[in-house]
Amino acid sequence: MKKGTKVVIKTKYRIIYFTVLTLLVSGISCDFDPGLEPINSNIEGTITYSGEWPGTPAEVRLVAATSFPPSGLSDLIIGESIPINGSNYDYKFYLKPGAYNVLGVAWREQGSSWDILSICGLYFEGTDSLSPASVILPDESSTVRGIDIHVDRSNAKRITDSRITGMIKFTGAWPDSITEVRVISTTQFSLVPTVKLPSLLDISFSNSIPVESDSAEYVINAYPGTFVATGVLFFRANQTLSLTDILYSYTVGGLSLTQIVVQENQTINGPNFNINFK
Amino acid sequence: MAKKLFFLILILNLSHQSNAQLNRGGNIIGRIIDSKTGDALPGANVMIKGTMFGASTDLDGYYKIAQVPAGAYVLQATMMGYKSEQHDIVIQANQQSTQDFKLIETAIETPALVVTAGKKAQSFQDVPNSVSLVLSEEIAQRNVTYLDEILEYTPGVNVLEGDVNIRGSSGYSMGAGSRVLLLVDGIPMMPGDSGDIKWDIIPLSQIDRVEVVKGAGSALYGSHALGGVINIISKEPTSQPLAEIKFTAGLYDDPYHDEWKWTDKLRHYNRTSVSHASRFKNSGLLLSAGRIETTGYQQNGWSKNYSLLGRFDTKFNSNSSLLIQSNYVTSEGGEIFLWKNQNDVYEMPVTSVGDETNSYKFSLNGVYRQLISQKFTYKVRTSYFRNYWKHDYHDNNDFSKAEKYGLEIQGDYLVNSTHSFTFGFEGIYDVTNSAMFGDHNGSTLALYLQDDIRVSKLISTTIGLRFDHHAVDTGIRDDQFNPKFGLTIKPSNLTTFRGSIGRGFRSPTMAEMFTDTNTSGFQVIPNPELKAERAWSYEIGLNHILANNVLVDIALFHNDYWNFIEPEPDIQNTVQFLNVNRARIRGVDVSAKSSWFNKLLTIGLGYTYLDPIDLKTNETLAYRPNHLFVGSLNVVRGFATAGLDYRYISRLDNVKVYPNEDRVAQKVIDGHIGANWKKYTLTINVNNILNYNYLQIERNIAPMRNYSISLLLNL
Repeated sequence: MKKGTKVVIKTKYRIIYFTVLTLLVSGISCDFDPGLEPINSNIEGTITYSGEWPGTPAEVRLVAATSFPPSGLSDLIIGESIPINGSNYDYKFYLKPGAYNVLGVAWREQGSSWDILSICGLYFEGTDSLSPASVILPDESSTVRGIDIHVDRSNAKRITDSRITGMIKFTGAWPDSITEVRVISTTQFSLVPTVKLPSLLDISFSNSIPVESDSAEYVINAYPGTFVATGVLFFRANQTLSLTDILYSYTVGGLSLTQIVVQENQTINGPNFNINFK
Repeated sequence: MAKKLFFLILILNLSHQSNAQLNRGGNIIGRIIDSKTGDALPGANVMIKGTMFGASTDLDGYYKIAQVPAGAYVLQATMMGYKSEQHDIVIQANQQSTQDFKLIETAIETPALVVTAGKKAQSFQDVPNSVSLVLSEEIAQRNVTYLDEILEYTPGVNVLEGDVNIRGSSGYSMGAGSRVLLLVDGIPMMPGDSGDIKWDIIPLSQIDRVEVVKGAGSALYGSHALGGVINIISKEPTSQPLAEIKFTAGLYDDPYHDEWKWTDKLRHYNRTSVSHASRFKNSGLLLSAGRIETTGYQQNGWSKNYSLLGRFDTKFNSNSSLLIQSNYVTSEGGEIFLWKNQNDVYEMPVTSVGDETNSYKFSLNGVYRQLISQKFTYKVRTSYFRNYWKHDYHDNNDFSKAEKYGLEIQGDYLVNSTHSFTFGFEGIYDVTNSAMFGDHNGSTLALYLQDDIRVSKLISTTIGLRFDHHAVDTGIRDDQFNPKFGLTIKPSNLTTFRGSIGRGFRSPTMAEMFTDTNTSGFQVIPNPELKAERAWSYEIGLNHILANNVLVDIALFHNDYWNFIEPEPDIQNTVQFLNVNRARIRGVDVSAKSSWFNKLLTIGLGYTYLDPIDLKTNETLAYRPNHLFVGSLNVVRGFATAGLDYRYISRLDNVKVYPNEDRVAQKVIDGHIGANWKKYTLTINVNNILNYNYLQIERNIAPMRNYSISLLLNL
């Protein structure tokens, strides 16, 4: 082969090589995005603690959910760990923009797993401790401050395999406004002589009961304690939980004031309900 | 006992017959050379098609196949990088026939023989299933720590935190069971408790090639081979003594986002391996030791891993040989479970920092081969695999010790030059003592038969059936029949059409049935009633060489699953393995390999479309992507090499633990350059060149850009 031919071939190789290389790299990288990115929007506030944990804590974390009540653990955003002990802690919780209807703190005892009952502190607005306040992060650079949460450690629930179960029957036409149905049971409730409403943290929720159903079984994930009231709760679009809901439940046959004592790892037959929408 | 005696008598009887038959065969001798240069081609394979007769050429290109029964045969010569060539040959009793070959070099490195799909050596183009190969050169170039990092660049394969998927088979099992069977030289290498793949037991420096057979392989291999089989073929000591020392050092770059930087300390890794292989007369010996240490790129990501490997083979005579191989690996390291949060992806939750796992694995395998007669040969494979691990977590101190004993006797019987049988017996006994899985034992007894018939010069068929009886100490018994049918049509040396239908199954692992644990807030509860899952696999494919420098392979596949075992979190995220799904995964595999400018430039491309559907919910199966693409470009010029690899895996539509969190597609580019000079090979790698941030499973960030330099010294 002549020397000139060799040079031409070498040059050709180089041109082809670098063309292919450039095309490949540029083709791949022209729409390059960095992939996963950090979250910049956040919520800030102070967590104040009181009381002592009922067991040995494994960890304490920030939690949030866009829906209330969260249908299960998968609806909860379990954030980072925060100190287990101490009297207060300034936190910063990075969350994507959106409306958060549950914002709080959850704990986990050594040897137990996360549960919706792990929530031991919630953000409430003012004195209403029945409905958690919502927090809105409008855009990716927003910070919402002053979201303070109180945690009474002594009120934290120990997760055991305890349940309250029963049946519900529905008669009459379902009101259109009802979006979700749950059975709840609480350790704090009275109507007479004074009205004493529970805090949301005193309530255990059942599975979601299908709207428009004729009958259903409910299962409440409970915890060891004495439950003084069990009721069927009807959630309506864009409405917070209030005494009105409990009274409505009472009028349609959805409230029982029978005491239920729940032990560790025990399944108790709770009241059966006959709901008549009239 | 009576059965054992019967088998022994049968073997002895056949051995006795062999001496008489040996005298009625003829020999084939010849030489294989390069058609262009006339140079001898050492290491080329010569096989009598449809039989177990074959040989390799020596350093001068000569071969000899002895004691071939009289008859008419097709003799085929194959060698990597050359077109296979075949000739009709007639053998007469007590006569010597000569057949030389002049092989034509191809621009592409076409594979020669594969051994996995049919449990025997077959030409790549005679296999009715899709097979991908990973060669030792690729392993050396990519210079990774474990094999799973290389398999990610195999068409149709993706890996999720160590769980290997062939065409979306496995999803993510949380380390509790694999739908891909891993073999090392044909012997299963998976622990009896978790039934997953322990990548650290495979020393990369000792791999000759990896064969990836796609689709259900249970008709030959039984449980686990539901989605496919990965067989690692080890290097054999050669007549030239070889000592190798390899040292690799690497470091991790800063995270792409400044917010994610969590330490000022350098994050790095290093690996050392030393091996020596030599052959004395009829025996070969290989000894190898390895060490891998890393700080990890994540908090608590450190690990130390030490390994020893010994391999001894000997030929007692021309008819019998023995291979013994043993491997020991010990490792300790921090445990990475979930990240702290999306703003601290490389950090662990405070409570998990300091969590460690210590483990060791030990294997001892033996293979004895005996040629009884020109028509019958058998192999006895024995195996022992011990896997031990212990968690030292802040909230969990589980441990597990699992022992697996295996025995397989495989026979190959040649009816005539166009018809052969492969049959065998396999027994496996598993014992597990574990805080996580309890104390259990299980056993499998299996019989298999495969009938290969060359119907004509164009058409070959394979019919197979395997029966497995699986029992667990809790009283569960399960019988499985797995048939298969395969067909290849080879209208020319350049084109092969293939089709296969096969049934597969997988018995639930001890981990899937008996796990009872609570780790980092996640509870897993047992399900001792779990049933075996099963599948039917269908595939049609085409393999074609275009213009001497492009190898194209296309396959359409359809897999139907019943009793699919998946980890199912309930509403409280308590996980239990359930037979939940009636599922279907179908799709298309297209791959091409081409070579240009006299092998200066090699390009490999692979695209797989997957349609993985849970037929109960009509949703995409969890942890399965829809699109996989791999591309590689390599340049070899004289002593220097350079290359780029790209892989794209589309965003997972469905995950189970944190479905509401951010997920992205995988878009990763790796690059390497290397140089060979005398006894030295230098390789420099940059992985994840664009520093792309991605996850394989939730809350586990993949490695950022990292650099390594490696020096291999051949003594």
